[in-house]
This record gives sequence, C-alpha cells and structure tokens, in this order.
Amino acid sequence: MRTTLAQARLILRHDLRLLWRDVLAGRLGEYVSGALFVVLFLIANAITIPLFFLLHGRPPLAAETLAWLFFGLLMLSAAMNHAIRVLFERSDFDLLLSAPVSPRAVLLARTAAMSAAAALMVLMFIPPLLNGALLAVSPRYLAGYLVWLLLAFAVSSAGVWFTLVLVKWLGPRRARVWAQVAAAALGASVYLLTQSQSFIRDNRRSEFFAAAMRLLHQPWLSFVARAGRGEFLPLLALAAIAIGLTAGTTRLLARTFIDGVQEGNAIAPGKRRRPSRRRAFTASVGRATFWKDVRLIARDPLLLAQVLPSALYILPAAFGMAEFGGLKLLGPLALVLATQFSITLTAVCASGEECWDLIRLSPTPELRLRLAKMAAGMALPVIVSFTLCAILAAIGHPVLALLGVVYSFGCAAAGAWLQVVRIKPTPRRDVLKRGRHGYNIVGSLVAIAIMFTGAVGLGLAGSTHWVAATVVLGVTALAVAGCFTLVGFEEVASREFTPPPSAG
Amino acid sequence: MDDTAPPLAAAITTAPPLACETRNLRKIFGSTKAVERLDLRIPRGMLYGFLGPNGAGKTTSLRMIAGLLKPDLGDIFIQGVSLRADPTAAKQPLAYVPDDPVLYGKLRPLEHLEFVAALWNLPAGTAQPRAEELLRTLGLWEKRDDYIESFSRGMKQKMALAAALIHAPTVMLLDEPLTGLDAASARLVKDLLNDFVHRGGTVILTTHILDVAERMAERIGIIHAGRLAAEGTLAELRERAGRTGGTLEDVFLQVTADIPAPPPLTA
Repeated sequence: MRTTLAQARLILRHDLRLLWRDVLAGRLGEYVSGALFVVLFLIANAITIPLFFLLHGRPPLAAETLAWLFFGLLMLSAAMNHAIRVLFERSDFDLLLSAPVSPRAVLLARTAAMSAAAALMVLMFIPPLLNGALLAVSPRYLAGYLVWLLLAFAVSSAGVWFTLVLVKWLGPRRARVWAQVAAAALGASVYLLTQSQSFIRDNRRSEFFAAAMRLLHQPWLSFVARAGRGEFLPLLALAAIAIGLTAGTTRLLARTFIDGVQEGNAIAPGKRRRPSRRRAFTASVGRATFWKDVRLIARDPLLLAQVLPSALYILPAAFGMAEFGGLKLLGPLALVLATQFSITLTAVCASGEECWDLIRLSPTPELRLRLAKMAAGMALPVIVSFTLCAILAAIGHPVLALLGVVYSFGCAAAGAWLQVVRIKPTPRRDVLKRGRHGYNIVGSLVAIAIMFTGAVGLGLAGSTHWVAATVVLGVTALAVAGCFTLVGFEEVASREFTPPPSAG
Repeated sequence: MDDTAPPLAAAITTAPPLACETRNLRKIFGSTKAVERLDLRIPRGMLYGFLGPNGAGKTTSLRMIAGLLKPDLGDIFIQGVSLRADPTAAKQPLAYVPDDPVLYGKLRPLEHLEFVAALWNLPAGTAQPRAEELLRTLGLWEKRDDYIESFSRGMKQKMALAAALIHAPTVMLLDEPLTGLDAASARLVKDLLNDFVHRGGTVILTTHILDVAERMAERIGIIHAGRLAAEGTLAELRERAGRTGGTLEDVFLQVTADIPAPPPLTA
C-alpha cells in the first residue's frame, strides 16, 4: 500500500499537468502562449532590475510589507476561487473516491495544486521584484522565493478552511455561491486598497498615511517582509505557520472535504418548492424569451455572485467624481452601471444560451430571440440606472436626469447589441471566465469606449462646459447609432459551433 | 396495364409528399466522412428505425435532418419542403429529441414548455392545456414546481419528450429515446410513440436496442460507415441477408460484418 505522501504526489503530478494546460489554453495555442509568457516575464525583469539599481538601497519595510500584503490577498482570492473549483467542479472525484486512495492524500494534493495556482497568479510580479532586489540590494532576498512558496501554501490552506467551514455551515450548494462572493469581494477589496486615497478627503490624507505606516510596521504584519529579507526567525515563523496550516488542513478537514464532495455531486433531493403562481402562458416568442432569460439570471446566484461584486470597482471613481462634481455626477455613474452590467448580462444570455439546439430547431427567426435576450440582459441594469436618474431629477437637475436616462439607455443598448450580433456559444458557467471565448471582446472594448465617452459627456453637461458637452455627447450619439447601423447581425446557424457527435 | 389507374405524372403530383427525404446527403468532419451519399425516403405515418454501430453516422444524419448541422452536399425535404430553401417552413412540423437532452435547469417544467410553445408560435390558449396534459401523461405533474435541474436523467428525458410534443409535430426525430428510462417509463414512451404513429405521425428513431427496433419499426435502415448499408422491412432485410428465420440482430451483424471484432477481455 502506498503511503499518503506517495499517493498525494501521484495526484499532484496529474493536477499540475492539468493546471499547466489550463494556464496555456487559449486561442493562441500552447507554444505561442508559452513563448508570449516567457517574453512578458523577461520584459518584467528588464523593467524591475534596472529600477532597483536606480533606487540605491533597500526599500522601506512598510513598502515591502504592503507589497507582500497585496500579493498575499491576491493569492488568497485566487486560492478561494480555486477551492470552489477543486471542491465542486472537478469531474474526477468519482474516479478518486472509488479508488483505494486516502482522502488525506487527495486533500493534500489538491491543497498543493491550489498553492501552485495561487503562486502562478503573481508569477509576473513577485519573481521580477525579487530578482531586482537580490541583484541590486542583497542576495539575502533569495529567501523571498521561499516566502512566496510558503505564503502560497498558507493562503491555500486558509482558502480550504474558509470554503469547508462554509460547506459545513451552509451546505455545498450555498457554500459555492458564498465562497464565490467572498473571493470576488476580496479581489475587489485588494483593488480598493490600492485606491484608498480616493475615499479620503485631502485634509485627512496625511493622518491616514501616518496611521497606515504605523500599521505596516507592526511585527505581526511585517514579519513576512522581514522573512523575505532573509531574516531567520521571521522565516522560521512563516514556515511553521505554512506547514502547520497545511498539515492541520489535511488532518482535520479530510472528512469534511470528502463529505462536501459527495454531497455536492449528488443529485439535489426533490425538495418541495413553494408552489409557483399559476400564470397564463404567453404566445409572444419575444416575451417568452425575455422572461425565460430574466428568470435564468435571477435564479442563478452563482452568476449574480460573479457579476455584482464588480460594482465595487466603480466605487473609487464614484467617490472621486463626487468630490469633483457632487451629486450631479449621478448621471455618468448611472450610464457606467447600465452599460457595464448590460454588456455582462447580455453576454451571459446570448453566448451562454443553454439550448441553442432547441432554438435552431425552431422555425422562429433568430433576430427576434436575440432582441429579447438583449432586453433581458439590459432590464436590471437599466432599472438601477433609471432609479439613479430619478434621484438626480428629484434633487433639482431634471435636464441632466433626462440626458442620463437617454444616454444610459443608448450606451447600454449599444453594448448589449454588440454582444448579441456576434454570439460565441459557450457553456454558461464559462462565459465570464477569463481566457474563455464567451465574450465578444472587440465588441466589449468598443462598448466600453462609448461608455467612457458618454460618461465624460454627461460629466461635462453637469458642469458649465456646455459646448464641450454638446460635442462629446454628439460623438457618443453617433457612435451608438454606428453600432446599430454598421455592425451587422451574424447568424449563429451559419457556423458549426456544435462539435461533431462522438457516437452514432 | 390497368386502364383505370391514373397516369404516372398525375400520380406523382397528387401523391402526398414523403415525411422525410434526403438526397445525396454528405457530411465530412476534417478527414472523416461521417455521412456519404445518404438517400432516405420515409413515408408518412410510420416508425422508421435507424440503426448502425457506434460512429456510423446516425446522430450526424439526424442532426442534419433536424437542421442543426449543415450538410456539405445534398438536400433534405420535410413533408416536401426543402430545408435548404425554406428552413422556417420545413422546421414547423419537426421535433427532435437528442440522446442527452439539454434543458433549462433553472426553469420549472411549465415555464420550459411555455418557451418551447412560443418558439413554434403556438397560441397560448392551446399551449397551456396541452403542456399540463403532457406533464400529467408523462408523470411529471407532481414535479411541476421543481426546477428541471433537480430531475433525474429519466425525468429529463421525459421532459425533453414533452417539449418535443408540445407543438403537435408530425415528424419526430428521436436519438436513443429510451436511454436512462426505467421499464415503466420506457413502456410509456413506446406507447406514446405507437399512438403518435397511429394518428398519422412519423417517427425516425435511432436505437442500439435491436429488440425495440424489431418490435416497433415498420421499416429499418442500417447505416454503416456513413452509408446506408441496408433498408427495408424486417422481412425484406432477413431475405436480403439470407436469414429467413433470423433475428434483426443476426441481420445487423451480417450487414455490419466488416467491423473488426474487439479483442477478447482478459480476466
């Protein structure tokens, strides 16, 4: 009988192979992606190494602590995301659970694979910085590589703990949603951390920075940075934490992990739902499609958990705008919210359509269905945006509110249209994943450009720059009209998106 | 010659069109010829069994007939209407149930059927009672408030059948419809299909269960390596294979005999 470690090594080798292929998967192909990866890595090194030589001397401890904190949080966010996949979405559990393999070995291998994924997340940042530091400052920064690895193990174990506590508490299905929300919120909070100066008024900034510096010098926070500098005791402490956490995770959580997997893979019990209200059928295919897609969005907490936290990314800009122009800038905010979420949700409705075969089999013209999908994707964002415009009108800016309504709707419609004209059928759960093909990327970039132009136009309209506002809003209107007139409808049916059947 | 018989030209123009006809159909995936020169003529009001070994081209043929795959060559006619020339009209009488049906997991059965009925322009007053009746007939009424994602494989298969029947099609294409069904459900589906055929509908069905084809199909086509290797009634196929007393399995194995036998399993 092989030992737990030997079993874990076997599973880990297999997991790392899959992880590496997933990293390199994309439209460019493995070799081109790999070459691109190497070139980018060399460029990053070519920037950081001379930079460290120019800096002359060791960076401040607070800066290093902040950097390790930032990378640690990024890795934790990646580990939490990966934990969800490892726990709920891998299809090899039937094989692993039916094999004579210890659950501890499986969990250990999966934690190690999560650590590798978390470490890869910051591959383009940490090694170039460490290379610069160890060449220009001190060879003791070589210890930073060990810190990177230990930190990856520690945050991965923390990710497993967090996810499995959620599983124990909420059950696997709801835990999946809340873990996704937490990972997304954590990712957004890292971004908010970098933008924290936007939230603070000018006269309080120096006070804020002084407090932040005091915090960053606290031993319990700065010991990671000290370990990175090659100091023995902090390095030992970090190693003890990482090894202890990983061993504890494997020892204590193996059973919970396996229970979660088994429960998560089981067919949902026939839990009796509240009887739905009997509603008359509609004969209109547009209405039926609209309501079908709205229901599918509203009933998919995982999708909402992926989409809604992205609103947090708008917060710094909103605070910055508020300081600059006050509540008049609700108009641009409404436009940005409407357009951004319309693009995302329409992409999910269109490219993530689950039953393309059914739609292509039917005698209904596809254009009608796509317009209904566009409406479904826009419904929620436009309601939110119109509410913000109503507030703007209520506080005494009716003209700005009207412009906000018109331009929010126009830009959102243009963004949604660009998603429905060119559909790339993709499994629904993959549409929002990075590197997948669900998004119409070019369309999204064009829509985001229009969104920014419209937001600037509305911002100018809220100030006294009426001439500039008229010009920018005119350009936006032309761009929106251009989307509808110049970008033609492309039939999905003309493409063979269905893979050749494997049998028969 | 019988003087009372109508002239041949008149007979051609007045004869009801075939339920499904394929002419010189071809589909190639990369270097693999999935279907090659497939000519089918399936009259109305019959159950046509479409058999073949794995990878023979059954599913590809069915997906082309359903309009889900574009043939590289040839044309398909559904009740005399060319799928290439007028896909909307040709698809109106069609229903297709794939072997692994994809349904909207987060919808309830009636919501799913409402959407399908709207796709086929069915009036709401007709669609709703028919949807409810289908759910009752297929034993899904008790599950009407559950999301489809919580259904078992067999229930999903029945749900797909309900979605196929909601617009009262006249030509049904079924790919392995009995997969995953328990004995009672399989009987129910077979009865439904027989009833559909007796009321004038046409069923084109692929199956690996030769007994089912033997008992239910009026005509059988055996596809092999993308080509129609044999076609006819069971008696005609037996006669052609020179096995008057043989079963469909004997005929099938003889027609597809050039497939290399798998290596024996070792203990």
